[in-house]
Amino acid sequence: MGDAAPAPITQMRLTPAEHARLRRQQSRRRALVAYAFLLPNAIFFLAFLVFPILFLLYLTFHNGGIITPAEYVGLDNWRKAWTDPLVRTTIWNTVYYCLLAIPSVFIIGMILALCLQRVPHGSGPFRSLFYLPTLTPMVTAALIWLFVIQRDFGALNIILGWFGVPPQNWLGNTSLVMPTIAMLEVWRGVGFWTLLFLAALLALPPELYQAATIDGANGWQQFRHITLPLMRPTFFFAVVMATIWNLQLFDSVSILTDGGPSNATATVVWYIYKAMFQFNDKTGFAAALSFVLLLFILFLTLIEIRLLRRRT
Amino acid sequence: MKKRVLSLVDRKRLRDEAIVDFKHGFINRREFMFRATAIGVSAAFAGKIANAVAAPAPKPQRSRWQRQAEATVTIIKGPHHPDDAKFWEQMKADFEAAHPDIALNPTFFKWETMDAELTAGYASEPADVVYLVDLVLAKFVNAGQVANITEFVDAEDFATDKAGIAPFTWDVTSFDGGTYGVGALGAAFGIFYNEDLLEAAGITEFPKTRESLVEAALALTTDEVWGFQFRDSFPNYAHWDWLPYVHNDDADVMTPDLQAQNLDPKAAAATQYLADMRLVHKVAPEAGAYDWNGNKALFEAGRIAILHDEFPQAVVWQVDKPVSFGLGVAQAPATTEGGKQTTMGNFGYATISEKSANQEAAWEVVKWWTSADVINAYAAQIGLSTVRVDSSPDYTSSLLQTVQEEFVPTVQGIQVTENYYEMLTNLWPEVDRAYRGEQSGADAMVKAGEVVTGLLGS
Repeated sequence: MGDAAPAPITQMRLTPAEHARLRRQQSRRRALVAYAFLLPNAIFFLAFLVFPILFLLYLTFHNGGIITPAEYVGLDNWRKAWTDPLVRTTIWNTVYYCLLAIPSVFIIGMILALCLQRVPHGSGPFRSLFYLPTLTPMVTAALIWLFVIQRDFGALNIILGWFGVPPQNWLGNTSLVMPTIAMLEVWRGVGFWTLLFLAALLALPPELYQAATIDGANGWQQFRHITLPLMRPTFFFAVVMATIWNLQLFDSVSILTDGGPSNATATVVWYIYKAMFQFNDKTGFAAALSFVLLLFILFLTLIEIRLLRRRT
Repeated sequence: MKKRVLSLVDRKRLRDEAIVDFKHGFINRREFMFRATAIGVSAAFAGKIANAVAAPAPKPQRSRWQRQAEATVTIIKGPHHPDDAKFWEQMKADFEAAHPDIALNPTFFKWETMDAELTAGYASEPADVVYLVDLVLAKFVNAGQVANITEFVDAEDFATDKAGIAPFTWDVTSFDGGTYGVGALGAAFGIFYNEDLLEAAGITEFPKTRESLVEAALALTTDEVWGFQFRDSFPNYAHWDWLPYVHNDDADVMTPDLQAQNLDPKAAAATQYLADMRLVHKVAPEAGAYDWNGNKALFEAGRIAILHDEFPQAVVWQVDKPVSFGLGVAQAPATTEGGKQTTMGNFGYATISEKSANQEAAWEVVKWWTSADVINAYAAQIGLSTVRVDSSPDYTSSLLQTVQEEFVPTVQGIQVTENYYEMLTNLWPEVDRAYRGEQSGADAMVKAGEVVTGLLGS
């Protein structure tokens, strides 16, 4: 044993197979490290998004499941969601609200952003002022608006009165109530969109405007042919996010009208809440409605992405 | 087989290449650290697990200086007064003094989120005692979340108290022959009127029929004053103002056996009557013009003469923030002379959770809270009615005393079924449309009846 000659060092060289194995091993180890770093986020993603969605899908085929044992009912809840006239009303109300609120908030936000862009100094307080409603809790905002739209002494009716318009029944009139809700939401949301558009405007290259001015383009032409095209990525984000958020309208409706009068402000999420928590054993139906909303949002978002990305 | 001896150069090369070469018994430092850590952590976990499995259950730690109750009973209810938590602190002290082996833990849910909070609670660990209002009682009983307390209620030591509680409450809490709650508190709803305005209009006695109410309201209505007002939106609980007129016509949401709708055609006249007050007689503001708080403000300002509201408001208008005019209370008028006059009431029940591990201790809490001395004193503090028929709270408001003694015995409450709230939610838009003149009371009740029929047994 002791007299054995040491093996020549060349025998220690790795064979290609060994090399490949070790390389695979190292690559596996690196991947494992990467997964380990991703794991905490993945756990939250799975626990708080993927699992609830899968559980929701499971609930759509059952009755109960929250405070009563789940009972399999097949496609019953989907059938009810399809045939219930109130579901159609809530979808229409939600879409109607989006059509009122989203363009309004974008137009007002853009105008305010353009105004702020032109303020050379001291625009900070205005930015804070515009953003303040966004920070206001919904309950507080609703209470403020109850005073603004009050029939007898509300600011809005008083202002209209100066122009000879009789007092309006803002929350009690089925035709006016949804625009009133949209008005409140626009007031609350406009600060956020103003700041977003302002940030995008300030990031636009000034040379283009200088060149356009030299070429004789007026303000509108610059806005139409430079500002709008260059802001398309921002609009793309804004349209998608605004659609997602506004389709989930609930809190203002719940606080101010609870879906009334005569279901004029009954929205999809309002109905989901009612079915889930206030109606008897309608968990599966609420889950099916939630899925309908999820698919609807997904569908609209995909359309928007296709339309806007193509142009962008 | 001989073991090959590596030179220092070979060892260094292997270490530098960071290659694990088990064949030669080498391991690089990183791998060594990794394995050592893994072994250490595993050993620590294994030790912990072994300790947990093998060790005897820990004895509860008791502080010498702190009295430890044998059971802690949690009660949850909505706040009935801004100072409710303070009232319950005192009640907790009283209860624990009388029951040294039970600790009481009073908690509150928000009325606005009651359904969601109760659902979430029942889905996990509910309070031992839950205060459930009649609108949701059946839903949770039906879900198997409320304990059957027949044995406790029928026990001899509760017989006197049982006899002292209004019989209608036992009907409400009975499901399939079992009893699931004990009536505690409630609110009755009816009419407040401004005595000064009535007197000025030459009305000496509050109208007792629908026709005479219209005449009075017409006499009271001026450019500044609405003769009559009632709630019209569902979130303002408008159904409480509509139902007495429906009940007075022997109609209701369902038939007494809860097997069929009972609105079409019986409730059509009542609905049309209220709609006409706005649309034909114009003695009430248009539908939706004012919310509940708006109505109260106008009444306080003397701009509404006769107002439907909830009787606990009497404490505010008579004691807390007295109005500047004579105040009276009345029931909704009968359809015709000598006809039935009912009062709408909404009551709450003390129930025990099926999942409670302390049901006997919880029953002690229920028994104590619903006893005449405790509930009457509490009702007087918060200004609500009780369901005791053997005694009455000592209210600071004489009007509330009148309500308790004269109107509460004529209460016709809601029909307790698990779909009742959904029925009301879905039928109310039809009543609302009638109030707006978009359809007749008869058409509204046809559609409301269809809603109820569609939900029966669903």
